[in-house]
Amino acid sequence: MSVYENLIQLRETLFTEAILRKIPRLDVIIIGEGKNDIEIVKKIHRKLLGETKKSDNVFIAYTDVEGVNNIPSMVSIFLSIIKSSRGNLKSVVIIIDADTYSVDERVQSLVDSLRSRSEAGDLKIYFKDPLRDERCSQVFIVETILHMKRGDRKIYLIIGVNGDFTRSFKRRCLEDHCIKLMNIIVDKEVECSKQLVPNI
Amino acid sequence: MLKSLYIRNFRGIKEAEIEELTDVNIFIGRNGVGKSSILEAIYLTSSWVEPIDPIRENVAKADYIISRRGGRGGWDMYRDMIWYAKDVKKDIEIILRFVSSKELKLKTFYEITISYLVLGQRSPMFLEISEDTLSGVNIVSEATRTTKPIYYYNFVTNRFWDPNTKSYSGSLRIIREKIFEKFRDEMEFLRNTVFLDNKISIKDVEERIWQKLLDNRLDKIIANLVKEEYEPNVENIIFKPTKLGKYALALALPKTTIEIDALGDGVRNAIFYASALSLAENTIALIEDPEVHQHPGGMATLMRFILRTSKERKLQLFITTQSIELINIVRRICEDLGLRLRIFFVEKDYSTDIVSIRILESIDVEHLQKLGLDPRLLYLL
Repeated sequence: MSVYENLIQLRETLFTEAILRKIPRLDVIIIGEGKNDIEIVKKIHRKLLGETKKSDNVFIAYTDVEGVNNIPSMVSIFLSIIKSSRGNLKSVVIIIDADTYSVDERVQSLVDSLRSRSEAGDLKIYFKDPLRDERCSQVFIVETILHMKRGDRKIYLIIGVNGDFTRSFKRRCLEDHCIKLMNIIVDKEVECSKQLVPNI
Repeated sequence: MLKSLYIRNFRGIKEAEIEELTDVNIFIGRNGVGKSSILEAIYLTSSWVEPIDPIRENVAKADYIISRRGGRGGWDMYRDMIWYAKDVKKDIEIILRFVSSKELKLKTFYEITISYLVLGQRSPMFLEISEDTLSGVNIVSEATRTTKPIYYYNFVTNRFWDPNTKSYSGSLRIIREKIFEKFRDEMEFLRNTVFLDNKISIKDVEERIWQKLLDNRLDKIIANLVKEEYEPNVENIIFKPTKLGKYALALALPKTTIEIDALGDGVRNAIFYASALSLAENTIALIEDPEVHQHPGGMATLMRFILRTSKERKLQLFITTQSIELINIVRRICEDLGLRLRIFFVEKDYSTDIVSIRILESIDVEHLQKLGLDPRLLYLL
């Protein structure tokens, strides 16, 4: 099986893929804000996998919350996923734009929201403090422990915050990194790199 | 109302615990994990109070759970089929816990046969009771004491069973009264448990159900259901004389009548399910795969009827399905009617045969679908 076949687009293909290809599990779910973000992440992921081929036996699924307006519901969505999952799912990755906030503020805000809703019926969820990833200052790992009747379970929430903080954008987003990689010169009047996307 | 359910050694279920039951309970999961067995377990326990099926003509519930799967025979001949892995040495145990905090722990034993009994006594289920339950009643002289001070009591025959000697002993009327006094509400709730599957026959509807519907003119609401979705021109549902001198149910249209036999499977199933359900009140309704043969429009109409009826007639619903459309339709209607809904994803660990349940609220189903995660595929997570 090619490494790319382990990358699954949830909304469009999961049902048929799962039934016909008998996909046994989803190990990681990556959730982005919008469809474009997920497409970019998928392309990066494919490139990395093509170089490393480390994920042959890990099934990674991609989806989005259908735009920035739905970000507040991300917390509920994450809680529904971890409540519904059992042993297969190891990690959920959430990729969000920093927007007008700092990376730390964005992460803390998400974790605070999760903590405020950490009890759902008999299920109690404990979120440890976010730990900054050693390799990337804009990625945090939150170890999440679910106290369930049939024993405890651990799941990792990985939060990636988009935005190039070396530039003076008012709003920071995933496209900042594209601009950086493509060495595009940015006019001082540009408030957000999304404005430049049509020109790329 | 049932709050939780425990099943052991029943059909493919070695052990299962289903908690947080509510008004409307939908069971989803892959084929063979035990969804229908959960319905059958509840149905079988109801035979402890009332052994005869309320909608099927002269059918004992204990026979029906066996015959409905293959039709080869009933309890006495094929009951080994309902023992987990056919290990008949282990007792089947089903525990019903009610919102009243009362609990009925029911068991059956392979040695129990029922066909020699009159129809109204064909219950193979025995309530496990301790001396505490019967405090003040000296039952030692009437019932054989097991090694522990525990007794197994069959309510309809008013007899005890001794698993050690594998024999019965009789009891005094006072014990029956005491049990009924203690579990009156729970027993009344269980008594008329109705099991709707796609094996309800035309004969059952014409000879048994429709008579009772006519007594209360509930036939009108069934005709309205048909008119709303399946046949807009129907004026009434009537009994039409047949060539054999009998009568057949038929849809009365402006210029003709159509016997129920000639209808499509979808409309016929809807009439059967709706008719049988309309007779139930303050009890449990077990509904197996109501989506079968239904167009999504028919499914919505039938489910609205079922859910509205369940609210009006205080029915606790247990529904199995493979249809995501049905789940979404039920979610919407439950919201409209103010009914509480839970979806139970049933799965089996094939290394241990233990059945486990993931409980989903309506909002969880909405969230999962929003991300493109079909709740029927939860085993992937």
